[in-house]
Amino acid sequence: MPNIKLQSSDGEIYNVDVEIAKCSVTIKTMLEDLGMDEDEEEVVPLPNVNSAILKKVIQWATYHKDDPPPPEDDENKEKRTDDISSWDADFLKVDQGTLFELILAANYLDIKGLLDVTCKTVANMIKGKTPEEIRKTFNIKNDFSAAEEEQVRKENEWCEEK
Amino acid sequence: MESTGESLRFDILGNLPLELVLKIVDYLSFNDVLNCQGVSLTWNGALNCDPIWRRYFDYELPDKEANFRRDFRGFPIQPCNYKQKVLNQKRILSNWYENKFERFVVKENFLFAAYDGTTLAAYSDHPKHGLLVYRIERGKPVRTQYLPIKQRGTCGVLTNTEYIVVVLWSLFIIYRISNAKKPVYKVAYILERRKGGQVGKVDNFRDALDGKYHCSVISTLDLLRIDSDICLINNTIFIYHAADRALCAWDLEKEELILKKSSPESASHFRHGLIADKEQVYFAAECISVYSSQAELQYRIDERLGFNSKLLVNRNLLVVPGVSSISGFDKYSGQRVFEMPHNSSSLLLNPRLDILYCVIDYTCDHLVLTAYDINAKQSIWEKISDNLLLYDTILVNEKCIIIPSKPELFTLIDTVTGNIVYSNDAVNNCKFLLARHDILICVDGNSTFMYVYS
Repeated sequence: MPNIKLQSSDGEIYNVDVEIAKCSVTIKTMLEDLGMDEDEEEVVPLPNVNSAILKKVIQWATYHKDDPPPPEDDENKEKRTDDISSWDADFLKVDQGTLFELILAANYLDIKGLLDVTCKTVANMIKGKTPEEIRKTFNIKNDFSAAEEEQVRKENEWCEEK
Repeated sequence: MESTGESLRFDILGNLPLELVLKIVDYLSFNDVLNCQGVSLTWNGALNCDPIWRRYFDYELPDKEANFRRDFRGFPIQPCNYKQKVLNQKRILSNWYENKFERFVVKENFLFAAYDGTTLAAYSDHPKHGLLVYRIERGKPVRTQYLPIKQRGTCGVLTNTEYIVVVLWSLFIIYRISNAKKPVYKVAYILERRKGGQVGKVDNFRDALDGKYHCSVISTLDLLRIDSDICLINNTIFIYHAADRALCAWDLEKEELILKKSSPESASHFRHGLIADKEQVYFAAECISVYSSQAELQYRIDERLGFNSKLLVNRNLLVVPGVSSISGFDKYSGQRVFEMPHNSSSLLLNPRLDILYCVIDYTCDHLVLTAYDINAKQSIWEKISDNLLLYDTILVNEKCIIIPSKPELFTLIDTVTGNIVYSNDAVNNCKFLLARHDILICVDGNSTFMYVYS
């Protein structure tokens, strides 16, 4: 099977099956636009992705290489977050910095499936929590003054009853 | 996240660019977003933008009224346009519920009216024929324009904050806002119905405005029914011509036909219907076709419709009253969600909650109203009334079912508990009702009662 070389921002080179690399729309477009031949020994530089993250992305793409293309989004619909596969859930048991980098990488590389599942994971960390619980989850400092917090609380009175 | 160490935590949402914040917020509910805004100044600013809040608002505003930028200029920041509107809508609904509202009596007799959340366009024939345009400002209707219409035969009005469309026998007068700052409507052009169920622009629209237009093609018997043959969504008007069995869609802005479609000939006598929400158009013919506002076919459902079936749609579901059962579908994918037996005279669907209201008419003055929780698959309350008339004018919004009845003008029933919230003053012989979350209009004899909730 033809391979392609992907170079991370810190210079690591990964040999990847072309079909797997093509789950990134960015790489797919690059290959098509540049007309890269499969036997050429060219290296695709990915200056926005470091080696640790690129390794994770390749791991994800390898596991999902036979997935059907994800469906188009409906803009206004409230989406489900309870449909993350157990493999993906295990794969995303990472620290929050890594999760953040994975979202950026999935967006930069245009891998919709990975972007969806990482965003869902973050949404699940927020869903149903109070502001204080969310702060704890992400280690965020409450930087509102008392008056500001009161204004926010007033707006929250319109929370729908559960 | 299993780990608890602080070094493993990171303010993800606070550091992502807007497009990715939007991706995450897509999975959150209204409550979640409000809670997120209470987390920190950064989160408060990051989530204060219209694309996030417009999902929770019942009306679609033209893009120019939406602000897509975030505001980080410290605190307190002005809530974005859509957030203000969403919060205001919630406040109004709760005031309505507590019977706090103002009542206005307008001497004009509205024959038809349409309301888009900002502009109320009403057609009156007395003393003069024409369109009365009101803006509802801080709970008060303010008359902004009178637009005379000399051509006879008005059968309905549609509006969507950018356009007002007056539907006549064979013509559609298209009014457009000419100045965004001071909303003044002007005639943009006139459409006419043409052979084969199409529409096209009238060359000399002055003649038509002066009432000198004679259309030979369409018989006056072939009237469009405003509630089931025409709908307005974004900048597109969908029109179903029953006589030609043809559906067409006209882009009001580009001024061109974007869909023309004839149904195959069939012996079906089922009444066809066209309805729209703020995203899609649902058309019932031999099967149900769902179109985007740009008239692209989204999906089809093959379902045998009952006679006189009227489709219902809320924020999640498309409900189809079939021949012997009611079917519900996910309105975005067209997948069947539920099916239940059907014997009611009329059906209502809560616009927000998945509750279906079945009206069963046992005798002429005795109705049973049953509320059915679709997700729990059980009925939640039942009301028997010997005082309900005109079940086809019953309206429902998120909180109340509004029933015109005698001797009261209307009774409001809580949509969830079935309790009567209150009954309103006596006005006999209500001709039509129009209700949104912040306005209720009913016409009796020569006056129009406008209840504005604020």
